[in-house]
Amino acid sequence: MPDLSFKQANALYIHFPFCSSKCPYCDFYSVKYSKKRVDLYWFALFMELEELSQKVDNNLLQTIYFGGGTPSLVPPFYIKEMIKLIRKRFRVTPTAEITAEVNPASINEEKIVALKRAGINRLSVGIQSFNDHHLSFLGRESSGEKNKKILNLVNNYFNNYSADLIFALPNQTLNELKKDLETLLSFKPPHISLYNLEIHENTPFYKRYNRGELKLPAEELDAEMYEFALEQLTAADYQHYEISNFAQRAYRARHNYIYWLFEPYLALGPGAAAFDGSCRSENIADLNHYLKYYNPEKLSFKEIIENNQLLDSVKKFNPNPEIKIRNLNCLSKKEQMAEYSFLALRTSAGIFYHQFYRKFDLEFKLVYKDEIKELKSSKLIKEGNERIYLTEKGKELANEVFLKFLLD
Amino acid sequence: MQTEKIRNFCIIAHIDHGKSTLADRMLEYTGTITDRKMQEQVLDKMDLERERGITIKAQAVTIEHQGFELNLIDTPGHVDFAYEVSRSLAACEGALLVIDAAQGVEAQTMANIYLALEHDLEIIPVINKIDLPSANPQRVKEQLLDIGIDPDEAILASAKEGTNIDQILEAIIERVPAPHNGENKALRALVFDTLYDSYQGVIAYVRVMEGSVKKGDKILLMSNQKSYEVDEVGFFSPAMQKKDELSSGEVGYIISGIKDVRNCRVGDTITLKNNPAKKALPGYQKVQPMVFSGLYPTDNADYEVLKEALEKLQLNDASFTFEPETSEALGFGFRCGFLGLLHMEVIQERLEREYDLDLVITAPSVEYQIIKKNGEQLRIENPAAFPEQSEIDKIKEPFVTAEIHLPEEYVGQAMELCQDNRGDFKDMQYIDQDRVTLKYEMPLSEIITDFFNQLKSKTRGYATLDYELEGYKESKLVKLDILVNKEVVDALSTIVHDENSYQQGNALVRRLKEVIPRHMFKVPIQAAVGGKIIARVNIPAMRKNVLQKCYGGDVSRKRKLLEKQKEGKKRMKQVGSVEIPQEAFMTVLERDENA
Ligand SMILES: Nc1nc2c(ncn2[C@@H]2O[C@H](COP(=O)(O)OP(=O)(O)OP(=O)(O)O)[C@@H](O)[C@H]2O)c(=O)[nH]1
Ligand code: SF4
Ligand SMILES: [Mg+2]
Repeated sequence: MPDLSFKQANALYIHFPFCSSKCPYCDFYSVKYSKKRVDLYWFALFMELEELSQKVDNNLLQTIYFGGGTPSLVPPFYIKEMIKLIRKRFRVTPTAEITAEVNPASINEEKIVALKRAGINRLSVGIQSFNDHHLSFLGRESSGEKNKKILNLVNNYFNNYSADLIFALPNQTLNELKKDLETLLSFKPPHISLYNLEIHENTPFYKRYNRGELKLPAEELDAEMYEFALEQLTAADYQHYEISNFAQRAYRARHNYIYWLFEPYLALGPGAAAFDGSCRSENIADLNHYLKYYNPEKLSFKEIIENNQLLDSVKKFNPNPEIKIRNLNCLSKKEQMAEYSFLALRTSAGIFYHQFYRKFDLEFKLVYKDEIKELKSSKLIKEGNERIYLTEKGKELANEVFLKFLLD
Repeated sequence: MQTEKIRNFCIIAHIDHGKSTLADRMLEYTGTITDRKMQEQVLDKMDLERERGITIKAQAVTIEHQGFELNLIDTPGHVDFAYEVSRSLAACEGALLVIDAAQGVEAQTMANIYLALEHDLEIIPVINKIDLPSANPQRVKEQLLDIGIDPDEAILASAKEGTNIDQILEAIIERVPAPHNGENKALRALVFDTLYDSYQGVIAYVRVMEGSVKKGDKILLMSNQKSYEVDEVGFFSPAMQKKDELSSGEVGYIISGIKDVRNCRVGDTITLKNNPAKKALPGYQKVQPMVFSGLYPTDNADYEVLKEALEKLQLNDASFTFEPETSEALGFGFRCGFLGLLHMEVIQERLEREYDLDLVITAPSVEYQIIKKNGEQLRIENPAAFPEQSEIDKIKEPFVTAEIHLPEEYVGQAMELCQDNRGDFKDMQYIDQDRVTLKYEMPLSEIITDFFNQLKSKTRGYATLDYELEGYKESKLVKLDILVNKEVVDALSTIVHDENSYQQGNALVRRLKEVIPRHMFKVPIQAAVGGKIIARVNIPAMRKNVLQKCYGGDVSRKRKLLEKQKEGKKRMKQVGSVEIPQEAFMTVLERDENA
């Protein structure tokens, strides 16, 4: 089977595909949480990690990210063991950013402390809103009060964390967003991700949207909300360093930044995607499939850890060769240039011509001569100091800009 | 086969009354088709027919029964394909007139009876679907009596369950006259349909009226005097089956290596080169297309492909016409003439499916007669080609007599709709206690703009419609232009009645606002008559279009999403700096329900 080849990868993503219930807007891969399957799964993850470590040598991990799904459902000591094994198999810098996504509905003080002890040094908290009505519309199992309580706790134990907020919800008013932002800013989170509600295919919202039962706010209001949020966040000293992300000084999301820089990254778990600089591989989003492939022993995770047999049992693994668990897709040079460009343009830094040249051996200014000219004249980008970047208007119409960088 | 043992008949009826299903049963009953090969409406061969569940093309098949050769032609019921019916009738001596026992006599039942009478055919009424709980054969018989058909001759049947198929076959043998015996005369075979096969060339579907033809004969097409040698003759069962000879009275096919589709036209007479007939058969009246629209390839590079596709389709369907046309907005394309809206849809779908073409279609129009002030007379079927308002003295447009069959309780709604569409009431008659026929004189242009759909929705699907061209009459018409971003888009122009121009202009700009996407700048859309703006809306500038989340797992997905958007943009037509999607050109057609 063709595979990725990593010369160097500094980031590792681990997918935890379980949630206690499915939010109707979400298109991430996850299944219903079950203790038994989580045990098996964790085991299989170890095997994939082992497998991966044999393919990759001499990597220095700068970031590790536990995403989901809902990683806060997993007992923290599982995470601890995972980080331990990662450290055994990879070099991890002492200053590495190690993030876990947490859902306020499935976390408490004890778990927050345990996650910290397990080696997690950054949390990404799925707040989404403080408005009970909107929370329940989004299918979130938390409440405004609960969200505040959790943020308080997180604030007490972590100095690096991020909070997610969703806006442009059906019937949401500007005033409601204003309140959400005020509440959030009162905690001064070091990092904020701000998304408008997007309707993704294959979600319940998509069906409702197509049947006309779900109406998103008018484009004007959506834009007004976004502009309003930018104003507030800038006034509160946040850097708008990526289209949907805001950070206080020195608190950018380093893991995500690696994606935007088109740098390689490793990934574990069904539905997770890895990138080696020119090819992308994606684990098929099917837990059963994944378990069949790694075929972990049906032992409880706790037993194994307690008997200190983890490594032994992991080594015994013999994957089922009949089963294909990933899809590999190697990008053409043109596709690479397009992805590089629209990813870099998402960041406030934009595209540096010399970096593009280093990567592709081509002059950005020549490849995209007409596009640059056109976008400049429509005031969507600015050029300066051998780089281009989005203007404020360009950020709102970013797709129109990105389209121009696709090559036929 | 001796002519006394041949019966040629077609099955005619209103749409959906069960012609093709009845044909199925006859094929089964006589063992023409084995159970294994049987599928529903086996004669509806085209994908499009199977999907839509309607017959579009007439289909011939030969059945052997009790020593007789029965040549059956299944015909379409929809009014747009009436031409197919009349072509088939010329090849027959009899017709099975199928009437749905629950629906009773409908608009095309009447139209088909008239056609059959015109061709002097023996009519055998078949009251079908008697298995339905709502079937009311007695009522149908009363209706038959009213329209001058002997109800005692009617056979009650269920094509679905195969009831009384034997009686029908018997009636065909007994009542349909044998074809006239022209054995000893020179060959005259009527080409009633053609098909193009890339290996064998043109396959001519013929009814031999006189004489006979066999492999090796040198034939002559009487209209163009071209001659070919016959490779094969045969009949349909329903697949093509070789045969030694086709003789007087028989229906079948002739293959003779005709490669150029234009050399073998439907309606032509085939004779023998060495012993030519003196006179060609009457052939067919050329049908006049009634509805016209522009067809343009989305990608201008496909122009030649479209041209070839139209030529091939025309061979198979001589009832539509096309000629080159150019539009400022759409580039090079063709103005095509159709028999009706369904016909237009079918041609368009066939082009897209069978020839993989991506098309922009302009709103349908009729043919107008214009008399200019300087006395010049014009016939124009493309609104964009209209002369300046100031140069026009008079405009005449085609009027039809529309016949609407419907239950009495919906008469009010139907009349209102007709009046709204410039209908002029002519007559109302009861078919029986609770069914009524309404007659209106109406401009054809109103009929082709969504009239039937609205009629259906106002009568909960119970009304049926037939119409016939009446002639040209003067109307107060004006050309309604649409300006997008201050530029006239020729392909969006329509002809409307002066009195309705404000309301239609308004409705149209509003609909265009729904389908034209936002641009980076504000786009005004205006309607104008004779240079004067009568309606305006603005499409506001795009405010926000951004993919919010983009992380490791979905970079390539996001790229593909962007690629799709870019593809979508490419498929739009660029008019000035505005991109107009294909649907926009068709929205002109729709009517506001509440307008
Ligand atoms: N119950 C019942 N349904 C029937 C009978 N005959 C036909 N149908 C149904 O009526 C519908 C139309 O039948 P077709 O045979 O396609 O009708 P058609 O007259 O060929 O229609 P066009 O060719 O489109 O004019 C189908 O759903 C048939 O199954 C019958 O005897 N009884
Ligand atoms: S908790 Fe998160 S991953 Fe799970 S369904 Fe909700 S949004 Fe999706
Ligand atoms: Mg049919």
